Amino acid sequence: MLSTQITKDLLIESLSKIVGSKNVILDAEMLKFYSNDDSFVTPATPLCAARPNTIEEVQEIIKLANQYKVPITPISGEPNNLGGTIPSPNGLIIDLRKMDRVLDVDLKSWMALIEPGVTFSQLQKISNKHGLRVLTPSEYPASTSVLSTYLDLVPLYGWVYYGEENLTTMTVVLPSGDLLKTGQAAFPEIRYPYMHSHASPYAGLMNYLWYQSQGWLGIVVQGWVKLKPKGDVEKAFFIPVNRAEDLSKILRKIMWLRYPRDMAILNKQDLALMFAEESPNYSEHVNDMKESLPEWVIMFTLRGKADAIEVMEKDLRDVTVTNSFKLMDELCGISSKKVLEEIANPAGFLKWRKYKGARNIIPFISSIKDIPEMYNEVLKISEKFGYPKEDVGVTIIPTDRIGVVACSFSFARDPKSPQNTDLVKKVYIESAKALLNLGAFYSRPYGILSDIIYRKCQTYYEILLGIKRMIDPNNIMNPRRLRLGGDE
Amino acid sequence: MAENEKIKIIKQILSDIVGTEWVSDDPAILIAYSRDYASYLKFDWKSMCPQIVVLPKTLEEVKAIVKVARQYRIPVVPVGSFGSQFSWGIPRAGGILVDVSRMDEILQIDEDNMVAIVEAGCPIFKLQVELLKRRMFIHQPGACSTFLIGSHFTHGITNKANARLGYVNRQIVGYEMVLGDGRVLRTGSMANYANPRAIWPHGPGPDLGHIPRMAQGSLGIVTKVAVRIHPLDEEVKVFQPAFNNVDKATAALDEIVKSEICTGTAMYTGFKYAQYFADTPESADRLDRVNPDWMLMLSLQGTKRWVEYEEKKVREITQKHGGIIITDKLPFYQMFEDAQLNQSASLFSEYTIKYWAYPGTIGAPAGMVIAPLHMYPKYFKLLSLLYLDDPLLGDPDELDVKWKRGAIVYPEQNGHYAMFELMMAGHPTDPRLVREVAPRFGPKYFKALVKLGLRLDAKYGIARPGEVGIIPTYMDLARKMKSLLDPDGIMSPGVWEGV
Amino acid sequence: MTEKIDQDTKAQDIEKLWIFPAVRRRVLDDFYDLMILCNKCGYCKFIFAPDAKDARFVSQCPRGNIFKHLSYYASGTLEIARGIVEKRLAWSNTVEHILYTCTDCGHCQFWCNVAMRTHPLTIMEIMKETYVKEVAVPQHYKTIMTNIDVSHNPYGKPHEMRFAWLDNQKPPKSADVMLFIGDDVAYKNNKLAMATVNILQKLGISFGLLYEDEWHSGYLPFRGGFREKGKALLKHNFEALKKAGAKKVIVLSPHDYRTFKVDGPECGLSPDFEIYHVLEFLAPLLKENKDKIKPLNKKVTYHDPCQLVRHIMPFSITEQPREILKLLGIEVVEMPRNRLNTYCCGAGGAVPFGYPNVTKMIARIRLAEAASTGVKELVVSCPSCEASLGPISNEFGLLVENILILIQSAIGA
Repeated sequence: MLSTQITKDLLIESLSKIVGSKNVILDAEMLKFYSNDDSFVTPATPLCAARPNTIEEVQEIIKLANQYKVPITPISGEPNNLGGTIPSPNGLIIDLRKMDRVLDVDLKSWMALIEPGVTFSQLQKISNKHGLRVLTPSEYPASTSVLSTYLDLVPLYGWVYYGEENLTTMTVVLPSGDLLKTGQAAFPEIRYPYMHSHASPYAGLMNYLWYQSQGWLGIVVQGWVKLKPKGDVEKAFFIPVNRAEDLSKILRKIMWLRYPRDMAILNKQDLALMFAEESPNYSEHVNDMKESLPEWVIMFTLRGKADAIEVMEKDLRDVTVTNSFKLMDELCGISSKKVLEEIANPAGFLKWRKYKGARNIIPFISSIKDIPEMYNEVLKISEKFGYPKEDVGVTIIPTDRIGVVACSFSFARDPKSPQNTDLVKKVYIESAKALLNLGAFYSRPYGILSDIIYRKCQTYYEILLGIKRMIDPNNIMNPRRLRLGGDE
Repeated sequence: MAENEKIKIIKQILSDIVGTEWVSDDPAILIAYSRDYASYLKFDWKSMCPQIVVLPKTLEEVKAIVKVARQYRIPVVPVGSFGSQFSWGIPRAGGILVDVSRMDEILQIDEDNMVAIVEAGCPIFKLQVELLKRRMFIHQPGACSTFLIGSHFTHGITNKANARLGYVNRQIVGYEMVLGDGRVLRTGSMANYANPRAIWPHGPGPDLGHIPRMAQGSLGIVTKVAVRIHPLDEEVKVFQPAFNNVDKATAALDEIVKSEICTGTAMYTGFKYAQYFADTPESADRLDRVNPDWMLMLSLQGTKRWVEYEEKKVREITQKHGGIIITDKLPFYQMFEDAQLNQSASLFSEYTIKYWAYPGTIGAPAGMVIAPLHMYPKYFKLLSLLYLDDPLLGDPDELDVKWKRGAIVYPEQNGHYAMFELMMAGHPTDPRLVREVAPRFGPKYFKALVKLGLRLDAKYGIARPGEVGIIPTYMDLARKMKSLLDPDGIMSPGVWEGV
Repeated sequence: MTEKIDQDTKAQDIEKLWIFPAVRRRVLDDFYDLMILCNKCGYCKFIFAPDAKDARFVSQCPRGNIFKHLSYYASGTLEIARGIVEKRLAWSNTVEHILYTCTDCGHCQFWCNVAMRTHPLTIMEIMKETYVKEVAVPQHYKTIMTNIDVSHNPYGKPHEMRFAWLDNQKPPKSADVMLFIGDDVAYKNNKLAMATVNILQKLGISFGLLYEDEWHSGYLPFRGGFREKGKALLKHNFEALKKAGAKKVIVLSPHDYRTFKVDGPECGLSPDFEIYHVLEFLAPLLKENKDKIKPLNKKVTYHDPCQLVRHIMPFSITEQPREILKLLGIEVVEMPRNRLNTYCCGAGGAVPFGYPNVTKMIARIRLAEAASTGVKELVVSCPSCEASLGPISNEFGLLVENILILIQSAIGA
């Protein structure tokens, strides 16, 4: 920790030498952007934020941080709203948004080499020109970083068909400042280094370790991501479902067909948040919409040639009708087109939080069969603390593994009200604990989730700590993350 | 302590742990583990035996074995089916060989979440049999289905259905393994000791979910594997579009994977196909003469309606690129449809043995290149030129089947990358392979690959630590990881060059 | 690396084999290339994967299944052979144990033929031939060979008692159709001999018996490494049968059948008469005489004896027993491992003589599988299978019956 003003000044001066003084942010207002988000992770103001433009600058910054033993927190896009980008008090923020180049697009292989600052909207525009698209998340806005979203294995609409490994080989700046390339990228002669899982010694360990690593083990400064086909024809569909218990059966039947290219299952709260018009009266619109929406909606897209879609639609109609569900291409004023637009350029939490001012989510992996019980439990807990049940949102992203889903429970919160914040925090913590007991797996352990899950995964955690100590002996890389303790 | 005294003591301790009948230091028992298919090519005719063989049955026994090995600083080499073509299981420094074949139970089949948990010694086909009864299957790596899930899913890479199902890394849902330091690591959602269900391989947090992959037993011993299960569709059909031109065949395959149709999507040279399905070298040669040069092996799966659609598209695409569908033309190929039905969905891979039987197809010195699908024609043409240029490989008198090239191409998802597998037929004892062909052909081949921006896959145990560029950092970190997880360096020493 | 046997001096004394595709002499050195061809595919260990029906019953190789060390599977035994040829490994009691606990089920040899074609069983037999010549004779084989020398049967029972089971009947010594009883039946299960006699008579078939000219078929010497002795026994029996005017010979024991049909020609003995297994002979006759059959109306499972299946391919005798059972009004519920994937009963290769506990362990594995079908009766067609499975079948709630007894019962013979 930097103890004296002189040391701080020296650090800032050194940073300015690396990135240029214009790219060292000291302004308190601007630093607010980094210091907190909706999560319950204790806010903290960084000393400053450095905005590098090249990999070399990133390396230099990290070497400097080691020298000064000052903690570093990377951010590549919007805050992840789970506390992942909140710095240590007086620590450094390394803001990679300036590194926003799309370095290469291989149109034959449908791969793109991107820097961390490349956003979904940016890459979407480029891809769309060539009949391709970039897979997007439900929770995060199009203005956020593709690289860090994929790196964190954030659930994507496209997971239902394409799975979760969409960022393959990467360039990592290690906590020592050295550069590491993973997978085929580790071999300089390979011109198209797209494959991550195979090509190197200890490939399984070395090429996967960085996923979900929350900036703890290094900073990914470049990576190859997969682009997917837009489809000559794109259509969205809805299947209204009344009871959570009915979701698993129909979902299984649809998954068995393997037709949907994007999918999300939302309860009325999250669905309304997604599609209510963003305006000064957003909250009213949301509440109005909720009145007419079914309890649950399975929302998905079909993409491909027209004749393929025709076949898929026929099969889907057979399946839905046989099982007494409806297959609709419009729902309560939400058109297919709107869904496609939302998926192409998601509004994400930046919009949805406007319902009450803040949005807290518990993200986890589970089985679709667990969801009804989990939902009931969360509603019970909400009731217990007096949180309005109708404000509990659920977004389920099916993975391409039939039955396994990424789920998040959301709680709208008024950040201006300490009582409300306290209430929601209580609901959040108790729900998080209860969900674990009901089978939730916190694969992305942020905040309190880190404490909850690692207490049950001791050996795994010990090994991670061993790796951390070895790779980052000065403990400068995002040290507030992945801790036991409760606050983080 | 004298070496043999140490071995006697260790043998006694191990006997106390697993029972005397499951431990042996008898030379007649040890020798069975001293050679595999390619080891003579690697170790220059050295037959490398372990000092003790032990067959544990439970996780606790495996833990105890590692503990003993640490205490006495003796190497531990875990082996599965021993069918590797790359000699991972050969003990390079003696030690205790741990044969997991007694741990062969199917522990759980979770149909709701489409995951099966098995012990590491469970043969692939054993699980398949149970799954087929439920109209499901696992997507196994391309190799004999008698191989064990524990070993093969950590080494194997791909098979025909990877365009839809992904490579083998995407089949893993979690591992349980005993690390070189004796700790038991469970990955993914299995890490939660209070509820070790297998649904998700990544995390919690930084992803150790594939840690045994490409570690060749040098980080620990896998004791359990959770694998994904896939549904077997109501309709499965097989088509083999044939082409006489590698560019057209590749273009057709590329269009198929980019159109997101077909489950089995591989491309073979006609000779490769002949190798699989002929009974003798002579009949392989005869078959090869009438076989087309290139064949796509496609399996169409789904509802009846969807398969009809896929068939329509496959015919269109075949015609567009100037091919013909030989399964229409020759009843001979219909005969293999039954076999192919299984294989296209990667159910059994029995054909793999046929091509080894062939006589003796050497994969080890030939090689695996992973590159975007569109690179394949360039790669193949380059290889053909190099072959022609080689005095032995290009010798028209050597045109007997021994030196023919078989090749398979397996694209992943939409063809982002594909595995180019090259197999050079030859008997493992043919001295010309190691003494003449490899030293002469190898360097030329590597140089030519670099010109195309390609490289032989490092799966072959050759990390080439002397290369310039990034490799030193990678290898340095790999070594550090190894010393962290195996502090006494007992796990499979020497198995990765440079680590 | 290896020492070649002096071809000039020994070539004419050494039998040759056509195997894949070279001509080899019956010496270990000549098989070296096959020993190092094994790629550990595991075909010798397991059922042929596409034929697998039940995850509980996927193993083959009985001794491998019991002892589990890789050396006990064909792929491991090949490494022992290799080690011996390369002079890295010495013969030992362990090697003897490994070789002589092989029940000769033939699974490895048969299925390796669709894999690497290393002919592991042939190599193992040559190993045994080398072992008994150059190293030692296993204790149980000392007894067997002495008994055969003295009383023409391995049990040491008096040769005169071979046909004591015949009651008042006295079939002729020579006939067109000769019945070869075999010592498993004659000395251990003569009910089967009587049943066969009765069946043949009921079906109007006249036949003869060799009486004192019938000696042990040669099966055990061949399997034990005593090839010359086996050949001598075969020669004797063939000549006796020829002298008796045989045009057709019916053999009761599958072991003897295999020896006549396969070992014979392999050592250059191909008699003029046709050789039938009794079921092979009876199947068409029973079909013709359908009206004589009173259906037994039950459900059983059927155990294919190894010697009638894999060893005699491509002319295996799997369908005839099933056809017969159907004619008898018996429904067969198949075990998961049947026909070409039949699982050994544990009684082949002289294992019951040397390692009766091993036979028992193997038999238990097979009986568990039979019990899994849910039926109460297990039908066998081999006296050795009956001897191994029968005595402990009640542990599994099963009754073991020989098909000949069932036929006898159904046709009222």
